[in-house]
Amino acid sequence: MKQEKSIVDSQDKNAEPMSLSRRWSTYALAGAAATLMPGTAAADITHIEPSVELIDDNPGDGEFGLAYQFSPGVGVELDFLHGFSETAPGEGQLVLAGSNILFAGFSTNGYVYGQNLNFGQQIPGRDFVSASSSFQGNLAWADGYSNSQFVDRDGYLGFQFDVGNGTQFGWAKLELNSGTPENIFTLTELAYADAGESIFVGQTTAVPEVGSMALLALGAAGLVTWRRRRSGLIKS
Amino acid sequence: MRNPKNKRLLWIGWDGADWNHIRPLLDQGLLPNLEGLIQRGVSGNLATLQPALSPMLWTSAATGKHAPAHNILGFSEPDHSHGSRPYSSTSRNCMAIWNMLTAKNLKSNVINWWASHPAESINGCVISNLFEGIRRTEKGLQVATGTVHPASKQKHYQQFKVFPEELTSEQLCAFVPLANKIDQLNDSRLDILARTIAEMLTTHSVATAVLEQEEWDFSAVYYTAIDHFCHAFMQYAEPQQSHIADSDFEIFKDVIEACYRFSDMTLGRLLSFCDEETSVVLCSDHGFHSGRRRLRDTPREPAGPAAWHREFGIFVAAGPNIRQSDTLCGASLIDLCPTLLTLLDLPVGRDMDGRPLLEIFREPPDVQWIETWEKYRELGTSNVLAEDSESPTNCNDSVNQDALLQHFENLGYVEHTDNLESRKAAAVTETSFNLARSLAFLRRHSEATEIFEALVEQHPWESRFVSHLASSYFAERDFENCVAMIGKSYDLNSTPNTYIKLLWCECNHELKNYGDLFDSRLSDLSGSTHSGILNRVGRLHLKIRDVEKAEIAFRRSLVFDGDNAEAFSGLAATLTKSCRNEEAMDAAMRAISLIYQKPKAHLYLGIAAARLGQYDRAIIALKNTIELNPQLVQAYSWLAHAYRKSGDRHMAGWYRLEGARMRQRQSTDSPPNDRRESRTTPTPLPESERNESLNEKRPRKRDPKSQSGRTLNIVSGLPRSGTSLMMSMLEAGGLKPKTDNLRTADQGNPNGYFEWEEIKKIKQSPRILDDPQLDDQAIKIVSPLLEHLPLRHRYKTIFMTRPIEEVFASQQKLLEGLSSQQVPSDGHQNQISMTQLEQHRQSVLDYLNSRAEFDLLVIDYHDLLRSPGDVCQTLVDFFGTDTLPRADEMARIIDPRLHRQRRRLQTSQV
Repeated sequence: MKQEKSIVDSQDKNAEPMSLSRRWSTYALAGAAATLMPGTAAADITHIEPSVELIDDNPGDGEFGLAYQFSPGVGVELDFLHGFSETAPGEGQLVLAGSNILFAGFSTNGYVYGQNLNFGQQIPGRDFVSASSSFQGNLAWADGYSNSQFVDRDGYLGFQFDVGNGTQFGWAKLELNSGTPENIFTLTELAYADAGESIFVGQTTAVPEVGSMALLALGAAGLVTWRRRRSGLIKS
Repeated sequence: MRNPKNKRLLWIGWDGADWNHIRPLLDQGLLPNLEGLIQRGVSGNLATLQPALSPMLWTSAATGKHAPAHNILGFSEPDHSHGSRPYSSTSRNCMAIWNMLTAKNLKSNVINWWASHPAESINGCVISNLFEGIRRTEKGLQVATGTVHPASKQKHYQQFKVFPEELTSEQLCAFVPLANKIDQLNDSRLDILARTIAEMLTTHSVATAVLEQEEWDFSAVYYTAIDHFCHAFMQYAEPQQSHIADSDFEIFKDVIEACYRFSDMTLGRLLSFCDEETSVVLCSDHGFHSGRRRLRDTPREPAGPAAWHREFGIFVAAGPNIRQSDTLCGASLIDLCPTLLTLLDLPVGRDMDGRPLLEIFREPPDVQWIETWEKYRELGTSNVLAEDSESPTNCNDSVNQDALLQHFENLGYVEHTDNLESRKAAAVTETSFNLARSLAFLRRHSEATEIFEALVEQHPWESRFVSHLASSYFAERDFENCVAMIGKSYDLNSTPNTYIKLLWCECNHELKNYGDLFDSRLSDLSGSTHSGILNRVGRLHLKIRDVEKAEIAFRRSLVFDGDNAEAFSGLAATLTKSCRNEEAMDAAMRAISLIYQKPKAHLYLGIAAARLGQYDRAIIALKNTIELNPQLVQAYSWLAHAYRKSGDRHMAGWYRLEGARMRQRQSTDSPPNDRRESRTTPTPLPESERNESLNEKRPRKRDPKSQSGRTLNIVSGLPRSGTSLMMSMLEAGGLKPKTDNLRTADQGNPNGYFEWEEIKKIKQSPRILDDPQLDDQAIKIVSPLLEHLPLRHRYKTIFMTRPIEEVFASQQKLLEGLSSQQVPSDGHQNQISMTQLEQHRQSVLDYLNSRAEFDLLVIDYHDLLRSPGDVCQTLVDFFGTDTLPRADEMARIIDPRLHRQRRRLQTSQV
């Protein structure tokens, strides 16, 4: 091993190491957190797997597909509608709308589009667009518009909302299969963090503030968080 | 994600996990997730298969078939383009469980399984075992084609590859708290640690991503970590071994514990993907020797590290229809595939070699059977997507494969070769050897013999092929050729190979060649510390009707390995012959609980039960015996006896008749000796030449602790401390002295001085030690020169001590003989000289103790004369049997007549 690759501070030869037992009990806390079942995640992330399937067999009828209320009675919802376009069967678009909710996406030519995100991408800090009163957050399957990001393609949609506790961020996993005469759209997963908490795409479990081995024991989610934290530390 | 209509199963593989490591950690509450799984399920031993090489084992587990059927025959296979490549999924000859699920339209995930590259186009997701070989280049990550199925997800999943250089000191310190004490310039062990941790994190990260993001009915996740940690660090675990330096012990003693604790945390995370309806199976392919059964030397041969593999792995299963807090006995790795299929309500192939472990079920299901799954082969990869349509034969990106081959090489599983042709030849040799060993394990001895013969012809210097061929002749009952082979290959008076001596005794027993030599060699073997040898010594004593010595041998075997089914079975035989029936039953039950497929253990259980009047039990045990081995005619007689005693004369008569028929059949069966008579046994090189070739072709591994990677053997001390005697002993033990013979033997040292004049110039010419041949020799060097030894090497150093008065007197005597003018005669001067000598010796010892480059063993001259046997054992522990194969010869060197000075001095003092 070359000296410049040294990975342990050799200046600190006389430092007393933490006992093995203490080190392990520190990150055993994370092990305990990791054993929580999906759907009953730690308090600061809500994760559900609705697997709601919507079948559009009559494009153009504009009927409601699904509305998920973040806090019953407050009026903040994630709404999925379909059948926006008056086109032939199999060429409809899926659109989304929400009350007091913003989507990670972009606006062009007067239309807003949801961004198709990748697993591990951080949601806070992205560009968010508003689904206005007449909504127009366009996912689109089949032909779609030229900027549609979900044309016959699965992916993640990021969002943020406020039910009165402050801004909360979340993601929804969507599967889209176009076909004739049916188009099938499935909302497979939905997760959002408590106000003030960060969340990345695909994250279903809160990551406790413990040692890095604890993070890595969580697997993919822990690895992504650890790399992000470390990258933040290096930048700062 | 799951389909609620289907049964669901998570299969986790922990390579090398062993109950002997796990139990103490469970007792301390350090593995809470594993403990929970054990409590809500069934657990027990899982017998491994031979040869215990992971690619072969995990493929057998996934297919339910032995290696000759599935054709994965080791780590690497011959390849026209690159010489060799890691065994690939295209080489597997039969369906794996994920193909069977695909054929039934069920979804599977397969992560990091052996021989899974290129990823098969199954219904689900595959992360092949070349995922670990992903490299970083200037252009980004380099991923071999076919590493991920579906290929469209490769870009997404490749982000979960963890590189060793990403890890921080905090993470390494979780495994090695004293990592800051390691000299990273000259010690590569921290690198090995980082690589192994990164490997584990890669598998875990990508596995959790797949489990979270893919729908599945069945997922198989395989971790190499425990096995790789054990290969690198088990030698440092508690209790401290005599040849392990204190500093190494302090730094690395907790690595194995840390590995298990982290593995338990990863298990907790995997279990978080399972609901109450999901069954979970956790298993290992073999165990790993620990405690007193650790090896001092790893065999210098490809796959030599497998000698560390213990014959029992672990098995734990939990799920909705699995019994709780129960123990499983007699399971084998080959039973896994049938069991997993049964858990998934799928049929078991009649052409599979294992059985479904129905005893783990709360309500045993009606097993569905089909003739073979192979008829669905076309459907096993039917879910091919257009984007994955590249031919698997094109999925051989050499860079990633080379990375994996290099990894195997680092672990000692694949031999280093320089060019394409030699790589290919080595792969051909190893696959043939592994196939032959597998055939021998399956008792297909005649096929195995043919391959071993060819290997000896082609590689007459390879001792491992010679001993396997001799064994194969013996297993075929071709005793004449076995003895002939031994005679050609070994000098039994000098060979350190106890196994060959045993084989010679066994053959001579079969050939009725008894005599003093036979008795003496058998008696020598009784002192072995190897369970396998002791079991066969016990069997031999049983055959010559020495029940008392047989019992001693089997009990001694159990001292060295308390989980040895063969020893318990042998003990049951011995106790049955002594009519100690309760004890015999206990021993037989313990053998069966370890390995169910032990027909003789069932037989002795039945006999003992019958003798105790427990006829119902006896009938069960004896029927099991016949089921496992219908050739055991004794079982028929005892069954007839048991039925008669229990009043069923009809069944008694039937078994008596059946036994008679079997006996008749055996007596008329002609032995297959046609080929034997025409056999020409190959002629290997003599043992000494084989050893020389071994040293030349496979020099000792580079020492990871020294800059040069070399370790030299040094004998030192004050002149006249017994250094020449020590050199003489080491030579007798098998370690050659480095000497120019310029100084010949004389009255002062009748056995010679073993000096090397050049070493006196070490201060001016430190490069004289650069000759690699010196690694296999012992160098004598006087104590004042030790401080000039270059510190880029490591030195195993014997330092001789002797009372300073004796040293002085002896030096004086010697000098008198050389030149009387040089000897100081004044008593005062003598006193000063002795003080100086004493101070010098202490300062040298302080220096040796302070430098990590010196592994120091101090030997007192008088201890050596008083207890030569003990000191010889210490020397063997220090250097290893590989370096000192002839320990017995060393003690014979000691000649009390040489010890003149002490007597004279004592006389004069009186």
